[in-house]
Amino acid sequence: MGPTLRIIPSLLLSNGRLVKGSNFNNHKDVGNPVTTSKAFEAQGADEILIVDLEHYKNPNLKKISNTLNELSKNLMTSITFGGGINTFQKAQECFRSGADKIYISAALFENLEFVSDIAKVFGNQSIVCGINIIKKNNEYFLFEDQKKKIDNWFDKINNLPIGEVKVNFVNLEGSKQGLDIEFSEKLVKFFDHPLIVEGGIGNLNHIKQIANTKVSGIALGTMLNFTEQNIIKIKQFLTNEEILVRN
Amino acid sequence: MRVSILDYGAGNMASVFNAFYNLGASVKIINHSKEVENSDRLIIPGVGSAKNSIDYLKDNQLFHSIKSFLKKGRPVLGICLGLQIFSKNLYEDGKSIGLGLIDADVKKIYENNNILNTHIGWNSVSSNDEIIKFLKIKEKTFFYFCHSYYLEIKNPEKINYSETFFKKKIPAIILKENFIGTQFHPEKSQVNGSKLLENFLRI
Repeated sequence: MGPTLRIIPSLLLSNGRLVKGSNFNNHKDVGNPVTTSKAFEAQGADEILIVDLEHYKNPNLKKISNTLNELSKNLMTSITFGGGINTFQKAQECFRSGADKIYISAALFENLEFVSDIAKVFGNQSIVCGINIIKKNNEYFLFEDQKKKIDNWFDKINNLPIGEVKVNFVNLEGSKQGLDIEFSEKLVKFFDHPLIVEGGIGNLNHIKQIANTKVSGIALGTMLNFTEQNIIKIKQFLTNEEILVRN
Repeated sequence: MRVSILDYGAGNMASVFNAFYNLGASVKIINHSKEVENSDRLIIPGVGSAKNSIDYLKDNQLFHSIKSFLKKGRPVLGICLGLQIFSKNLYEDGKSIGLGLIDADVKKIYENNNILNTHIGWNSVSSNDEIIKFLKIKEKTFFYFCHSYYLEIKNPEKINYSETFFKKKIPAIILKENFIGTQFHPEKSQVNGSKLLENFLRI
């Protein structure tokens, strides 16, 4: 036994609104962050992940703080926040505003040191490291830097003082083709941290396949926004399939 | 009733504050020893690393005020690291001396190749009759956890606690006199957490 498989709505913010796209592009408006998160909580979301897209380009801490404040006022669910966090100060501001954990990905390519600074004050458990992967001709690359050796990068991330790792399959994002099960299995074995996966999950069978790989969490964007599925149905299905979830 | 949440540098005060606020409590975030004294309920939240937090408490005379508050017999709730600081010794970033209410050491749950593993997510907490009655929870209740260190209790037969399982048995709720400690985050445990906080206010 141990913690149950987490079903995590993965939300993208842009100018204070939620958006969703595919392959990191073509974003459509899908609603208000607080209302939507509240609905996911009521359905039984185990955590909520929010990444701000604008924040990567124009860091606007005040706006982010307001959104995080509103979310934490209205939710009793753990919130992971990401988007342009590349300094200790920004991380601190996010925690102060209501983030329970922070998600860091692109900034890791510039600097790994600040991760330790955050861990020293807020603890390892408060940091989620993101890895964006693309697949080309049956080979895997890092989305941000395709020249970098992927194995070395995994090793570096694994050795950071963090709580968990999230892997995003960029080419599969929004495709509803199913997750890359084979590679996810390898990653679960490789990382000494709990693993969250995202990208390509479009139906209940995809979820069942991935649930059997011992991942710790499944992040869902498209499936929750653009299909007839919701978290209640997903959890009922998994329970029927004898996969342990929190009901 | 004055419900106080102690701010000691790290951690997400807002979530704990909002959880109590939404229950209709007259709640305040405090950071001064004088304010600790004037409270009816004291909550010590905790997201952060042990050494930093304990140093902060000591440097700001809060260590002593928590101890004297406990002696008055008013209810205290420690959450996650806020529970761990009531142990004797904490081994995170070196060694720190805790408040010593609970005969336990705070240690890493599990480590592989020097990489610390974290217990994250919803886990089932098993409680005995006394705890079930006192906190009005079920024999098995799901709560939300997020921690890499746990309490290794020295004399389990002498301490009243509930447990969960991740790699090993982990104390999840500890009751001692007027102190209630939870290794999980009630403020992140949706309805189950909200009920527990409500009961804490009724004690």
